[in-house]
Amino acid sequence: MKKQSFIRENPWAFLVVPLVFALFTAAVLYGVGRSLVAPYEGLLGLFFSEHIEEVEPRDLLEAASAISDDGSPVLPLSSIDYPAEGDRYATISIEGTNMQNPVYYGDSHTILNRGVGTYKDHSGAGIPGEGKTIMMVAHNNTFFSELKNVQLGALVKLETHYGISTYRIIDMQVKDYQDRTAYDFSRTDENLILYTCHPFDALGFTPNRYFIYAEYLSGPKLDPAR
Amino acid sequence: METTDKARSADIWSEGGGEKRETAEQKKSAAIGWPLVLSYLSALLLTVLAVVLVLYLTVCNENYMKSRVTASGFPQIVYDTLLENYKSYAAATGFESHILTDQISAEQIEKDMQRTVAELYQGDTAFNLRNEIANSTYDAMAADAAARGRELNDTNKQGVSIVADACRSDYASYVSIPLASQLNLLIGKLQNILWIVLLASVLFCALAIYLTVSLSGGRKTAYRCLFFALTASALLCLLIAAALNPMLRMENLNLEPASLRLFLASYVRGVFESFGIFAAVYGAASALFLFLSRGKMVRDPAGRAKKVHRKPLLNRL
Repeated sequence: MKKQSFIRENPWAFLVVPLVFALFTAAVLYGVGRSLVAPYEGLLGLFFSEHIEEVEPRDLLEAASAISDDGSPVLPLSSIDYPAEGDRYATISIEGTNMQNPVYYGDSHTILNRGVGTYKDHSGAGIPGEGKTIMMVAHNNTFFSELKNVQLGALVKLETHYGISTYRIIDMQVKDYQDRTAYDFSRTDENLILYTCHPFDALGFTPNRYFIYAEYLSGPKLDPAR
Repeated sequence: METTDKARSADIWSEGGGEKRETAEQKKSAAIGWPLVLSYLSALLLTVLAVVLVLYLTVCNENYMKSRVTASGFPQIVYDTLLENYKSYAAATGFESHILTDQISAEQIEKDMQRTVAELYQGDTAFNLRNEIANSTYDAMAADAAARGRELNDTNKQGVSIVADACRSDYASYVSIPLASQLNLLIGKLQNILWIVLLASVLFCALAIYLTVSLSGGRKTAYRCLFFALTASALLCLLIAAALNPMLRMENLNLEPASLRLFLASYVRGVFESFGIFAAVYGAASALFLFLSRGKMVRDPAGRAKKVHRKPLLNRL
């Protein structure tokens, strides 16, 4: 029986030969490509994240169960849901004013358009209960417009998703926006600073900031060791 | 006797015919070697041709980049970001947010970006400062202040200018192409190289196909070899379009702002998806050669060649 030429006559050649061509070429290119890219894989890794997930900001207050105001309990830091950038985690109110504004973690433009921002870009800056300097900012025409009516000795209440912290206003100062003596992130006693642009009726950019300083009175303390 | 002689002479298994058959078969298998190699070479060159044409139609084409600006949602994303920035500036400086936000729109951002792309391909890579944004914002703020009965004094004017400039600066940095001069150089070099590579690949591809057909020793084998080449190229193009792009994981690019990241991901994705067109073109051409290569020449006992109608390939597989 005459031997059939696979290439010339066998119908399976229509499938096998192009597949072999394509797979062989792909394998060679893959091998060559990998050997060229391998030395730069580490560098390329800097340009890529494992997975970029667009996380929606959360309202931690809404999700929290009833918040108790029972003095100054010590809570393990691991037991609370630490806010991420953009999360709303507190409400701020000040005695003698009508202020009852949402507080967010971070201080981007988007956050300042929605409420009061919390400075987070320093290891010495924290949230209520961490025993650090808490620095909050908002615009003088919107969420901190009532700061101009605040009196010395007034109480500031921060209702967070893990408890209620209270502070008393002890000082107010107007300083330049670049004045680094306006705040101290090396302090280990919990203290609250609220600031906004000054004067309140300024038109356009102003270099001055209105700082309000408050001392800690009561509220949950977060233990980082637990 | 005559019939027997005839039969014997036609019988390739007759004495001395076995050797002839072996030589003929050896020649046949040797003959298929070169067409097969050339078929593979044709497949490679067709793929190179596809790569060159894709680059020419995408990276070297201004309209492609413009289409990606729109397809990636760049104008809306930039507009949303600038809106947040402008609202914040307004709230910090004593103005209603619409005074600042009315100076921009997603449509204007798209037009400005398309113009920036056109300028890039024309060789104009100077950074556009967008002074018109600062001017219109300042004028709007001044008009609003006047409407509220507030005169702009020297201090106020400077403060308002700073805000107007902040709006201008944000707009200019978002509505721009980063590394424009380097990109322009790259595009220019690519355009020059691609012409040469295109010409060379077309010539060599044509030569490879011609030699494949010439050395195949028959139309059917030639059609088969061409089918192999075109199908392999189609498969490679399909692989590039469907498998290579997901491997790059452009959506995980660590790049800010998000508008730029999404634009770049869309741009690269579009380049790879273009290979799908060539996969379809090569696939269609290979289908034609598959149709042409149907049928088989066999010898009847009298030694006459005759065509046998075979079932279509798809029914036999």
